[in-house]
Parts: sequence; structure tokens; C-alpha cells
Amino acid sequence: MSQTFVAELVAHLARSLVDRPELVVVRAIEETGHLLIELKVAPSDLGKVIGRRGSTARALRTVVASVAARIRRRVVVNIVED
Amino acid sequence: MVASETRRPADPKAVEAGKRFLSATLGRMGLKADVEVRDHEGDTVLAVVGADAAQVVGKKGATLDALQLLVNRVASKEVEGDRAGLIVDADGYRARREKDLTTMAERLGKKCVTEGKVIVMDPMPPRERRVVHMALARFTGVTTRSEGEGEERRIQIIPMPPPAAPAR
Repeated sequence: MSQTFVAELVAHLARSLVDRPELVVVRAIEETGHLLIELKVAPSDLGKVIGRRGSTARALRTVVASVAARIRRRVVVNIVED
Repeated sequence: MVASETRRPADPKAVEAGKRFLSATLGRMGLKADVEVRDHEGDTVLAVVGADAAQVVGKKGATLDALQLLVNRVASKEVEGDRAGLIVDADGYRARREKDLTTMAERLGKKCVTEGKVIVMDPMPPRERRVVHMALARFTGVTTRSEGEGEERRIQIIPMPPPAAPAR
């Protein structure tokens, strides 16, 4: 349950930030000890989800972490290149 | 810092986009909260209200600052090449923080005068630095300036007149 919940939050954040929302792909992978969220966006949108000096990616992870703390899960968000 | 640069009415399209995004985000975070648009001394504030508003703040306002950054990124898409300049608040946090910062600035100002040494504060975002600069502008015996780049930019509180160069 928490898997899709967190994945949908990340997908929503990413789709709102990028120019090509239809190319946003989010995968939730259960790893030992934590939930891994893999975020893939169009190469031209990488800067939109990372931001200057990683500021946007950091903000995205902070929002996810606040939810993760509430549902008592460790969540790692990785931004991967297509 | 020029006040008119940072304080001007936000573009209605940007406000609407920011509000819609914030509402949707709170919902997807599993929080029961609504967003109200308010005006605070010329700044447009998206205020999170409702049962879970306090949960939106986070440690030292970290979640609130993160949401504010994302809201402005999303809203800025509506105003080509411009900053949306929206403030996100919840549970009266921004006002509380401003009061705390003012108190801290005055305490450090006194310390600076007493010890006659430069005090370097922790890095702060532009709006918080402005509060400290303003609090110490009417404080006799010190001057302030910001040093460093981006997220590492910090305020220095400098005694006036500045400390003499160390004797050689």
C-alpha cells in the first residue's frame, strides 16, 4: 500500500515540474530496509527535477521524507537517466 | 537588497497554478488540509489550513521550505522567465520564525557589541536574511552584510567601528 502511495506522490511532483509529464516513469522497488523509488524523466527535463545545485531534487526528497517518517518507512529517491 | 524586487503582487496565473499544485500535493501526502491565498504586506502567501496544517511545517520548517521551493518552480512555469515569489505558510510558522529570528538577531547584536568581534550566522534563505538585516539596521553599534553564495550565504554581524587589524 505504502509503495504505490509514495510512488504516486513522486510521480505527481515530477509531472508538475517537467515539460514532458507523459515521459515521467516512477518505479517502486522493495529493498532490504528501505523502499527505493526510481524516477525517470525525459533527458531534456533532468534539470527541471534536479534544479540548481540539486535544490529541486533536495526539496522533492524532503517532502517524500516527511511522508516516509509518518508511515515509518525509509524511502530513497533515485533520479535515473533514460 | 531592494524591497521592490522581492515584493510585488504575484501573477494571478502563477498564484492559481501554485495553489492547485500545493493542494494536490498535500492530498497525495495523505494530509487533510486546504490552501488559502492571503496577502501579507504585499507578499502573496499560500496558507495551509486544516487539521493536519502543523504536520506540514517539519523540523525547523524544512518541509514548508521544500514545498515553497517546489510551488515556486511549478508556478514560475506560468510566468516565463520570472520568479513567482510565492510564500507557503502553515500553522503561523512564518510569523513565529520571524519573531524568533528578530530575537536572535538582537541577542547576537548585543554580543557583537560587547565582545567587539565579528559574528557569522548559520546560512539562511534570502527572506530570513532580510529579517535579520532589518532587525539590526536599527541597532546601534553594528552593521550587517551577507557573504557566500547560494545556500551557503550567511550574515556577518560586524561591530562598528570594525575591530582594529591585529597588531603586527
